[in-house]
Amino acid sequence: MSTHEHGNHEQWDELAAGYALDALEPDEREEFLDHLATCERCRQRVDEHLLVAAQLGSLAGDDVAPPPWSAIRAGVVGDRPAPGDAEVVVLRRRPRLPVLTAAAAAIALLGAGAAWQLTRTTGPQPLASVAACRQDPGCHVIALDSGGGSAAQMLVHDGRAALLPTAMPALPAGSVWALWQLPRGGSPLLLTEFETGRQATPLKIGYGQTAGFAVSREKAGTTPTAPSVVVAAGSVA
Amino acid sequence: MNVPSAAVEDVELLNRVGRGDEVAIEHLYQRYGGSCYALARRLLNDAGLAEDVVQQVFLALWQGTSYDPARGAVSTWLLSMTHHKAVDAVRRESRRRTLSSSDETMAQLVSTSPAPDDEAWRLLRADRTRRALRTLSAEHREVLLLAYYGGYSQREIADLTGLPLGTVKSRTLAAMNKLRDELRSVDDNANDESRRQP
Repeated sequence: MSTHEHGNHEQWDELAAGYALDALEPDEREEFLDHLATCERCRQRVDEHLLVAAQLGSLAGDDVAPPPWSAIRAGVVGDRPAPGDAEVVVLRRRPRLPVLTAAAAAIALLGAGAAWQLTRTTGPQPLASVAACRQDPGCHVIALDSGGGSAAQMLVHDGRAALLPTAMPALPAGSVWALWQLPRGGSPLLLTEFETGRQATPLKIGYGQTAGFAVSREKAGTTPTAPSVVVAAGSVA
Repeated sequence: MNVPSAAVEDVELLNRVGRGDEVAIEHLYQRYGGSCYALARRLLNDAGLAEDVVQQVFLALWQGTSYDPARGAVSTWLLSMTHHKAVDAVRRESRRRTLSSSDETMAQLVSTSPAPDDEAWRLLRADRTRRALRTLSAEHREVLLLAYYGGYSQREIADLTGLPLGTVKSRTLAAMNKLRDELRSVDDNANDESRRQP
């Protein structure tokens, strides 16, 4: 008879948590797996705990690069021939041309609040400032994605950042947007809050220490210490 | 925090993996291999063993014998499988273990930098998890981190801490529930806000 067979599920719940953390002894694990095969409630608990555990696992990221695919490929797919080069998509930066003034002018134009508002649009807009930035080795374009497609572009030049919306949602009443700089280590840094067109804002830390940028929706009149409702985010190259 | 996922793309990639498409599993490796390797590396403290673990995990995915899409996202499954295999390995290689206090582990996790290819969304999720972890009591955090990042069984944790095994089990459950609720409350707030949008 099972040592955990009783009227309530408390001990099974404890085993479910231990199972998700791989913290059960082998005999307990076997017993729990037998029970799991017949208990939908425990399967749901395990799924919940596994999700939490995976989020704990997401904290393990460090600066050590993983082995390249080529190092583990044979152990995964065997000795089959590698796919042709044509199937491998390589993203390359566009050749950079020394047109510094064009990018600086683009940032300056945005800084003057020229025609950029966070409104719903039907799709990406061709933006001359983005094109100018791409031509400048000191200017960086970061695409911010909503999870369902491109939402905005960030332009960063000379320690300042400007946001160009392409498909941002409408801003609800009583809310403001917050722009965040995401350091490679540490918590997001609030750059600025805004409703519509704003001056370009200075970065809080150097671009080289930046992992990405994000836009969140916040209650107006507050100074958020962390993003509440993130609507778009993107990584630096 | 309202975090969209790449789940739709993952499902498509998994379908292609099921048809033996190597490009698709390589794409999944590029997307999640770094997280899996970082987790295995942190538990094992050995690059070679961590690489072995990651290879085993992606082999299981390639063979399609373990992952059930109905049970959750592939990213969750990959990290769970990585943790399980890394814990197996660390218990076999028990001499590699170094006991860190939960405060030390927490400090390491708080100061951890994301890998250079991490996406901004992943960084935001990690920040949210760190904040939720900080809301736990020291006692709850201790059993959780000893189990997850130390690779210790609950019986071993009882021996290490001098706590009764039953206390370790009840604290572990309470810690997992609290962490789940903390993470869920942020998502619920975000969803409520989303529903209020015009």
